[in-house]
Amino acid sequence: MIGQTNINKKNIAVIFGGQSAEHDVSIITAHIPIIQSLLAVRQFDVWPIYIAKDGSWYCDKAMNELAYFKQNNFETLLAQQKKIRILFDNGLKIIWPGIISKTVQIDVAFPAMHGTFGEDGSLMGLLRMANIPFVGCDLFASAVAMDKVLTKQVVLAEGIPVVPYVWFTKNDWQKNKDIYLKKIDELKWPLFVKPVHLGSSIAISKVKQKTELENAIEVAFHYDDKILVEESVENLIEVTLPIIGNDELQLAAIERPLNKTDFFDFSDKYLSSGGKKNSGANSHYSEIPANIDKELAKKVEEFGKKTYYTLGCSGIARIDFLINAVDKKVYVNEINTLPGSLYHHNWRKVGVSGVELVTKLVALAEDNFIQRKNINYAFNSDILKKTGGQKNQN
Amino acid sequence: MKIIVQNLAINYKDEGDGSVALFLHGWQDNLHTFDSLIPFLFLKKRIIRLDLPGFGESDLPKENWDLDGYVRFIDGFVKKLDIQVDVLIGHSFGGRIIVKGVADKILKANKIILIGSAGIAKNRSIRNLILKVLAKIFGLIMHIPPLNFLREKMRKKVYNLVGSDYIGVGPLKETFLKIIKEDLSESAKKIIIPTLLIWGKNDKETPISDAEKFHRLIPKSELKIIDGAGHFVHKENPQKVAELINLFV
Repeated sequence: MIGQTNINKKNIAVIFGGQSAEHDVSIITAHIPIIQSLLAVRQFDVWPIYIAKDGSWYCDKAMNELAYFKQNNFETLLAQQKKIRILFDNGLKIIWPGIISKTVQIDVAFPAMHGTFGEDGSLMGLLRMANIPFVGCDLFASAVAMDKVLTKQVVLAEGIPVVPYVWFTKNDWQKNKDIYLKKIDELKWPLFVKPVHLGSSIAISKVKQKTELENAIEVAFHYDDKILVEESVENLIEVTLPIIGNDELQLAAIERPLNKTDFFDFSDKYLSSGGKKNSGANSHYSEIPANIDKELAKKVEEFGKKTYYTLGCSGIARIDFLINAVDKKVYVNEINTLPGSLYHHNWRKVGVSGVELVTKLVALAEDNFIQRKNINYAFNSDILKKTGGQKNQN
Repeated sequence: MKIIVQNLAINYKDEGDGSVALFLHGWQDNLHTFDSLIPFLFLKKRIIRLDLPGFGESDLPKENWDLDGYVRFIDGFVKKLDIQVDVLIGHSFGGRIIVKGVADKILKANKIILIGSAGIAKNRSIRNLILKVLAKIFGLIMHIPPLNFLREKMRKKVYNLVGSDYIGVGPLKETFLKIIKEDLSESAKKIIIPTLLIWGKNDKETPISDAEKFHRLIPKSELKIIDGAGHFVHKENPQKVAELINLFV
């Protein structure tokens, strides 16, 4: 079974899974709320494009159900599936090869891939080349946001405060360990050690003693080639602000994760659904809106909008902040260009339902596409004619 | 918390101070299996638990390991943390690792506790041979259309019927097959340190007969059987299991 086409509806491809540590989280985001809401609207023919952990691409409408991925014999079922071919030649086409092949032309793409190859801009690059509208941030914002160091460097250049840090590559560390240990020593402890490109909190360690530092660095390098060590903020209040929009921005509520542990780790973030089944991102351990004073909230909103604009985000993003409750300093921590489950639990609190959120994002993608189309990327040139070719050997 | 051991990212928990008690979980389980037990342990100990490679939040081994692979891994983990283990505590497959590792003098401890430990091979050779032949015939038949559509469903039913863990082992299939092959009766004889055996009376996976055999083979062992509990006795009656551990260590 592949699925029937419906000529009266727009074909929308939700792309998820992928070869990243956040493969499973991506499956959740794709279904809750994206596919769920797109199906509820009844305006779209939803084609779930699933990229398996081995990089194979599949599409079958049975994959519109989250339950498909939870079956015990999932691997066997997948092995029986026919892999699809994708054509990026001026439009995105899904092709099921075979004696009687089938082709579906996609009108809009909805990337739902977290982490490497998806949220890092790789997928957006492919979609740009296919020349179709796609939901969310473009290649450039995604690529910068995926690198925590680049993000800090870019926002800092615009006067947005970030926590002091040291960064280095595996090669730097192997060659000049002593130099970096010295630099790290100048930071105020305790410290956080983070892989630079990983979206989730996987492999982030809080280091309180020097004896723990090198192990934490080794763990971070297990996941990435570039890492950062940064100061932790004292009297910490962590908040996050989901934003949607292209030029005109709409803010959700400032949300405060109420951590049980030292920091909001992977399982807190995605697995503790607060007793509410299928609510995706953490809701029970969050305070929405965050109970912080007006002055701080104003700063968060101001830095949030400025960061979104500076990075050139479009569609949706979520900006994470660290606040020192005593000296009232607000730091931008990182930018997430595909918030887990779109942070729909937060949007719901400000009166935007999952369906409204998803349809709004599709509309923003189409607006963005029209704007992009009006930009002239090609111009006539006679450079080819003027360049001397290979000399005639005869 | 994570640590790199043999180039694998290993998830572990390190709580408390004192001499070290290292907990190893069973097959297809994780460190949280001991969650309900830990609060009842009144030990002045540093309690370390880990997700074994391939389980929980730890990386999958890069090749198919046998039991010795897991023993060497635990040795690597202990060395990486730079700890001296006082008590080794293992449930099911975790117990199997301990029996092999301690017998081979690779893992060192002053005392060991085996909870529903695996390691005694089931004397099922004729039964297994018949099942193997049947499985081959069944496999061939189920490839014929339209039966092939029902193959997976039937396979699952048959494996459940014969009580096999084989379904759902996923990428660890080969590892699983290598591990269950090994009978540890000879290894058990070599264990000369005080050993506490805790078993649930209704254990079906590693029945009481396994516990009795371990008890006969391990010279300094004592066997405690808990009524009304099965293979996951430490979860079913954590208070009683903790009481036995508290007394023993």
